[in-house]
Amino acid sequence: MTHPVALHRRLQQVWHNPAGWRSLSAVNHNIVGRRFIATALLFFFVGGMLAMLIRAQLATPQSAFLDDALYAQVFTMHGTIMMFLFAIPLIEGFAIYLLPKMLGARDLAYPRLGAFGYWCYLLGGLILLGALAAGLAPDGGWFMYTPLSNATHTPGVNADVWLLGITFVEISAVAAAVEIIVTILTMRAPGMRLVDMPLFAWYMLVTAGMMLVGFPPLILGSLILELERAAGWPFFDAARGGDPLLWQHLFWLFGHPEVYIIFLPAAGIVSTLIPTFAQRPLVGRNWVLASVVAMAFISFGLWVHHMFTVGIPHLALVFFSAASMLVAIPTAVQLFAWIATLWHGRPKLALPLLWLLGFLVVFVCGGLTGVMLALVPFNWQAHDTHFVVAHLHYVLVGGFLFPFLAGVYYWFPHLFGRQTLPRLGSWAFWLIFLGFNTTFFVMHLTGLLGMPRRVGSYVTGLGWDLPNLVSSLGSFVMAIGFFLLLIDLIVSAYLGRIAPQNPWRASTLEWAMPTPPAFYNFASQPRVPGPEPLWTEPNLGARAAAGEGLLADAGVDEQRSLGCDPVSGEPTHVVRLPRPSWLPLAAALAVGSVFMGLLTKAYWLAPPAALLALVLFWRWAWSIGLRQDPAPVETGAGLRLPVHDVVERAPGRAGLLWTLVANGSFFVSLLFGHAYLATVAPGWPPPHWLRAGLVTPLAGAVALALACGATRYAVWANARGDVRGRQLALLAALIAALSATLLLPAGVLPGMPSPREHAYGAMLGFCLAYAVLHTALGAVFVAYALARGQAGYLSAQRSVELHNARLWWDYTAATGAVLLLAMHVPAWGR
Amino acid sequence: MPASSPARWLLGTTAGLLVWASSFVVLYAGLTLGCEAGWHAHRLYGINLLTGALALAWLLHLLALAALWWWFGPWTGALRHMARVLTAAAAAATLWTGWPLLALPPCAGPMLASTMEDPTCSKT
Repeated sequence: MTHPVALHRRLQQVWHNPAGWRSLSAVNHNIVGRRFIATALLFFFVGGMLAMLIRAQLATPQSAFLDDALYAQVFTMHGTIMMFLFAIPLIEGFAIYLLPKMLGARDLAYPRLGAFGYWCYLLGGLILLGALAAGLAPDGGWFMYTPLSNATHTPGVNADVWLLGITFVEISAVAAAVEIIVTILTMRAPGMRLVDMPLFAWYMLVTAGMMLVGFPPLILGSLILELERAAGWPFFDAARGGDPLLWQHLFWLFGHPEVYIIFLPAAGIVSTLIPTFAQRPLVGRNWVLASVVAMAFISFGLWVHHMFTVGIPHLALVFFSAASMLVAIPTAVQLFAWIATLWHGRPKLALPLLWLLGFLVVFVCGGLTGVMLALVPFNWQAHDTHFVVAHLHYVLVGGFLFPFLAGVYYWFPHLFGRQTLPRLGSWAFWLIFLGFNTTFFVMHLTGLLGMPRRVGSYVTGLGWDLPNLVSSLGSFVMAIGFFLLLIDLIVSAYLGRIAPQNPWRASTLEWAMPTPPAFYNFASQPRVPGPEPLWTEPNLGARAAAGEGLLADAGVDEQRSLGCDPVSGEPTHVVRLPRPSWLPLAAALAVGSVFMGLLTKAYWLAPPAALLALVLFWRWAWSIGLRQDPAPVETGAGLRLPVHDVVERAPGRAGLLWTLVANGSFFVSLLFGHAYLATVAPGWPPPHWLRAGLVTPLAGAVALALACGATRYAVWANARGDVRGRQLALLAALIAALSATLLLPAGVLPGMPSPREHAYGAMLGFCLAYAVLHTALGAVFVAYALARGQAGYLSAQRSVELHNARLWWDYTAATGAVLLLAMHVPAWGR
Repeated sequence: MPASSPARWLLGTTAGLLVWASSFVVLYAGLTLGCEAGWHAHRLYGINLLTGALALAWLLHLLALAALWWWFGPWTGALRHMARVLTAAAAAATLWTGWPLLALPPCAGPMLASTMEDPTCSKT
């Protein structure tokens, strides 16, 4: 066995990351996770300053501090920044930094994708901040309701900034979700069973699944609203067969699960920290896991409770009211488990626990007002008043911010290797806690007194003067608290006492390493002895550092981590990981240029930028892979494992599968939108229907089937070692894919009514664009597999590219067939 | 399917709640489409046609959940526990979110936008 010091020195070389400006090419999760966290906190302080402007404006009646237009920008950007640029990225940052460590891995499944996600987030955020600085920020509320946000009522680029900037940021979130799922399921330490995973990983697994399903409806909504604004396609225009309520459905199909997407990771932190401070396992662990899954599902059945006042049959309202009350039960299961754990343990009051106690108080209050708002009659009274503002802040600040600040203090020694100052943090907590409750408890009363939200000025004499003044004073107390917290974190990072290893005596693996950690986390990957590894085996970290685990081979010049069976956690393969690369930054800049071209109406910029992005992604994928079948790798303890290029669980295959889940959610949302307009919107049937014969659409369907069949044949031929048959099948698939790309529009465009005339034509146009985009990308997939085969990257064992092409074509053929039916069948006989 | 396969885990942890989700979507979409189609104006054996159709769909989902509960019975270990707990939770959720259809007339309340042009078309 290599001497531990020599092993670490060698790993330092293999996992080296460049310094200075070259560090922008870093893809390691330690760096990317820290960047996400730091950037999110920066945006939090920007959002917080906007909140102070709001409270300054509302402190007195008829204040002239901000005019109406500026006030609209300020409250819109406050909500937008806090939801999209702070909460979700902070979750991603914690997950990216912590998950590999908690799971006993050396990095995430797709380090470059994580870096790409970060750059997309940063660029999208900078677009929004730039617009704010230029006075062009979005001003239609963080929900962008139509028709207020259409081109007639919101001319200029303000709304476009929101729609395009947020879509850009959401690409980052979906990328992170795929990365999190694949890492959790296939890259755990040896023997870490699914049921024994750290609770934070369980929560993040469920949350990432929710992100895949929950974000695409908003991406669809944003794209079609942008199309309406830029090209006049009337998806939401009631005069031309559209329906403004379709936007509300798409927005809240995302927006309500979003609340739980934000809450569940925070609850995961609570479920991780409370056992540590109680020094005992979580009470009812399996019940908590079940409640997390139940919560995730039920949270998708609540969206209409944001729309109780729009005019929906009473029975439908009661369905959603019942579901909204129901979700309190799995939440309560977790609350009681946390309380019982503290009750049965020996908790010692430390600063993170203080934040958790604050969370319990504030979140329970927010949950109870949530049940009140789930009741339709009360909701009708409180709708769009400050009561709702108070409720949502109790839920989001209590249910998200407090646990994450607990997490910041808890993992601070891990991030910086130092402890925070003992007094300053307590002062900050109490100022924030008291300031928060002063601000928002009183705001419930302001709302009950009838004060509407999103209004920047009010007349005196309505009973709103005093509660508003108290709320504003409270908010400034809270702001002082956050200022102290910032000072505490900055000073402690440089001057705090050096932290011992595992200062909280936690049970999870991230504390089984020196802090701050090395880029490779573990010198060797240890076998995990159950759900509380460091309590079962306190010297596990020392043994891993001494190279007693797996993959301790110092002679290898490649970044490696173990891949595992998703259920048993037993190692099944070795994942080869990429080194620092400029490709993620370059690809994000190219994609950002597409968005900037659309935003600034420089449409000429978008196609070349999109082509550049495609070339960069091609280059990105090309740099992975082997030209020879690799021999199994000696991992230690006599265990030889194949590398990921030759196994079914290759990260590339799993990643595409989960990406298609998100794509499927987008597709179902599109079908929902189509069906919704056709059945519910006014102004139907349309004045003109699609006029198309039978031959061209059928030819398009045959081309889809041929491309799918030929790709499948190529996989089959490859498995038999028939190289010529494989390449010929791929060539046939490429021809069929290109034919489908031409035949699908040929069957629709000649007889399609104008997309500007009626929402029917607009929907036809969008469905066609979706189908054609997929066949065109399918052609790229097949061409890529063909080129890889020609260059010697494919064999009977090495077949990831082929399987991905097959998977893409299975999806494209299935969705293409459904879209052909959806476009052509309603028009037959008209 | 092997006892510890990922597919079995996926099925065990999601099947019951997917049935609940299906029930919820079918009831909400069925209500909207039924009101649009005017099913609520007809009666079958003294029962409002739309209410009857929705109740039948609701019952089928409850039966599917009962079948799942029975199917998970022979499974073993933590997965069996989780699958059965989540199926029971899904059944309770299906009962709770669906029962109002037996207590309220289906299309009462504000009219749908598409019917507002036709004052003779009552939805109540």
